[in-house]
Amino acid sequence: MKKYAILMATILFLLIIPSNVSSDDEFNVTKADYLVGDYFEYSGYTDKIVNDFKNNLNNENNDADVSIVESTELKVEIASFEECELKDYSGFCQRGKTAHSVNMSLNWEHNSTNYLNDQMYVLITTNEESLTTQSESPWSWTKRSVVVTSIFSTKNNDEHNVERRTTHEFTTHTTGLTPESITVGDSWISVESRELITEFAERENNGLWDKTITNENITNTRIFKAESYELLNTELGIIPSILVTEGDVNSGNYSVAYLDELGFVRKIENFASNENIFSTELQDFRYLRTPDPSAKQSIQSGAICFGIFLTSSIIFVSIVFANEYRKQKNNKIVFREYEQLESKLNDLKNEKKEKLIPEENDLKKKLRAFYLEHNPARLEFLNEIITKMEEKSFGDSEEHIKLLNQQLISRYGVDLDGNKLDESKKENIELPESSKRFKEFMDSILDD
Amino acid sequence: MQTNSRRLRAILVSLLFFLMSLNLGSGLAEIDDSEVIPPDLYLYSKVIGDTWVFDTELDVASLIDPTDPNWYGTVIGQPLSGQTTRTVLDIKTIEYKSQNHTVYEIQQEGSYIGVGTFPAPVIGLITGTMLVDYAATFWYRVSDHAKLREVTNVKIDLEHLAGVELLLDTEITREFDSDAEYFDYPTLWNETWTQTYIQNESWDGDAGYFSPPSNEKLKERAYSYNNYSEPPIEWPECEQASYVEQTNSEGEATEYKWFCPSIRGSVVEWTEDIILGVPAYSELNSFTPGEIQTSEIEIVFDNSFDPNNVTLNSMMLFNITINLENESSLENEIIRINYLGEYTNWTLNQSNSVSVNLSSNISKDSTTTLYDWASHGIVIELESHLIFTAFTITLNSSTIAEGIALRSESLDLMTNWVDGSFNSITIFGEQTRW
Repeated sequence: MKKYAILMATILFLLIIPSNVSSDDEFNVTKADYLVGDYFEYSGYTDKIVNDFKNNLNNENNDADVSIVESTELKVEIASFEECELKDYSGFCQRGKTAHSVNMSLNWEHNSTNYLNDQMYVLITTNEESLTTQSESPWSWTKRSVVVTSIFSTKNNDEHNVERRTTHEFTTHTTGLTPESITVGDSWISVESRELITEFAERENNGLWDKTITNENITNTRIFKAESYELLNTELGIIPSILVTEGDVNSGNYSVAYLDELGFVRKIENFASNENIFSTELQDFRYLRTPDPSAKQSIQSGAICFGIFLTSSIIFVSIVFANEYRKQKNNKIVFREYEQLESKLNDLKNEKKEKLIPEENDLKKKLRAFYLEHNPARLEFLNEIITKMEEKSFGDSEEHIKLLNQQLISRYGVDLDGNKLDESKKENIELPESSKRFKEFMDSILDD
Repeated sequence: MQTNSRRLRAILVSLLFFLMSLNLGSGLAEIDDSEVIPPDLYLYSKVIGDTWVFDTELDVASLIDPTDPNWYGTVIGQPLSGQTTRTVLDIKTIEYKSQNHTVYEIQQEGSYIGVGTFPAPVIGLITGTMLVDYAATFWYRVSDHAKLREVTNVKIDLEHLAGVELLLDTEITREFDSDAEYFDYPTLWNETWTQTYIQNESWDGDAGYFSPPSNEKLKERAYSYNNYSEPPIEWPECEQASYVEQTNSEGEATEYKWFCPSIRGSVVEWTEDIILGVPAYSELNSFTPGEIQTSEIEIVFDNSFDPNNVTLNSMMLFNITINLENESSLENEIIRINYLGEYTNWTLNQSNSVSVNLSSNISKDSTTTLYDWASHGIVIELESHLIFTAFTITLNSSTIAEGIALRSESLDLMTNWVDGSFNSITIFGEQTRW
């Protein structure tokens, strides 16, 4: 009995240790570093849109019965990294795309409207696109639009549709940047000057949009504060986060964002007169730069897991040792058999290793090193380049390598092996007869 | 004396007014004389053998997406140039989406050449000459010249320093879910119309460096005919031509055609997507007419039937007479009428005539458009003698009134429906920009 009590006390002690290790003060939010293919899907948005729509109908004394036919949840995707120009910025930009849609059916009382079966379908489609600069710049660009499409039939059963669309497109200049790393207690101010283009448009039966466009300049001062460390209870589990408010909490009109330590948003809430009028929460995501699954956990939860693991390990090791001790007392061990087994196991492991890791060819290794030094942007496409090269049997011959080196020297001033431009050797490369007539033109392009 | 001078002044003033009126009158007369009334465009019949040769430029540069890493560094300074030959090969019957239609089979071929710099595997960028071989077959409906299907074989090679690189060698089939109809016959002067269709595209062959597009492409197009003037090139009997422009639903120009009836086609045209999304500009180089049929199909409408004011589900009554060159009898021969994707047969009497009564049937054609949904083409064929003709009927305004009224009502109803959703995406968008 005493043994059990000691064991339990040890387990409890080990479990307590990690909580002392963790600290809210150490928790910080880094800037998210996205890759193409990252996505973030939020729940609660459809409910918000549908409820707003129903409230709108009520306010208009429209007694239509509304039901959802189909919907897709709000999803933000990192679509591409591309060259872009935003005012005085010229360089790479990250393009993000946000999309949401909901299709509703509106039904009125029998024979109370001129629509066939007193029914109409209403499709609300939301899209946002943004460009954010990859290197430091105050500029960004956003285009945000909502289209409401109403589809109905006349009594003659001819289908028609009408649409209304609102679009905001703005280029923003931001001063006062968000801190690189946010910890509880941080606060910052950002001043945003926007050149806003607002467009209201409507059309019938997929025809031409009839547009009304206005332009204006707007300046917003936004005050942010990292208020507290929160353990956010979500569908994805308990998520440690920092709660950042924007606006004056005392006034009752403010927004709240719960930021994951990796920098993306876990939850958003918006309050008007202290009433929560908007709430959406991350329900699914892919963040390719997640270091490993445990990185998504806080220090505290990580430590708890570590404590459990350590405890379990000690118990397991103790049991194994106890068993072994008992066995050794009863049986003699034949070491030779074990030696053979071990050597077979090693052979098997080595064989597997050889199979699993195909050796990279020299050209790939050289290209990787070359791009790393001279054009890191192309590293992302290295595998694709090598695949295409293999498909086309390019790089097999010495002639190809010479040609490649000539091109590389022309573009970067250095070849794969690090040899620099040597004018005397430039004309030594033998070209196929059929291609000589293009060389003159190519040289002129490369010179440019 | 005073009286005389008053008289003289009155006479002078009258004379002045008279002269002024003469001058004004002559000016108006001059304007009247010089003003050309732009013609309305009516459905016409193409002739087998009609051949047009165009000088064509392909704007390949516009195809390259500068944001696509696969095309970084691409330089195509000049458009690819070459000649395009278009020929009316045949008139056929095809089944299309469970309907039967009489169609023109039109062949279009071309070879184009141009210099460009492209990203290639490993070496990054390579300069060479692009060679494009293109051959397409189109099937246009005789009743309204709507394109139903096109099959294109395209081969693109890049001839460069190290040899020739095949960029693409594939057969591309495009089908359209409804009428891809450019002209809205009868196309009236100053008319605008819109149209929506889905283009399906499938590839068969070596896609090479290209990626087949997503299968379904929604095309929302608007058209206008409000320009009748001198086309960019001179052509006999086409000193003035009808400029019909196509835009997308945002109002951005996508295509245009300078149509001239004397050559049964365009003298100049800009095509948004000849193939692979490449725009093409074509100027007529030569036109060789096919052999025009001497026999005629004469149509006489019944007094109770006005083809420009047809009521829904009403009877369309008209008499058909075949006037053969050799005046031989066609008694008991069968006339085929193609209307709304269905054929009906009618037997000729001893006078080579037949009285036809057809129901106008449905209220609109398959395109859901603002105005252009109330006209349909009717094709009349005497297959045995390879004679055919076509005309258009237009439904009357009462047929479309209900739809117009209901659309207007719906637009009013949804005045404030966008606002709530827009506020929500604004809140979300502003709070996720971290």
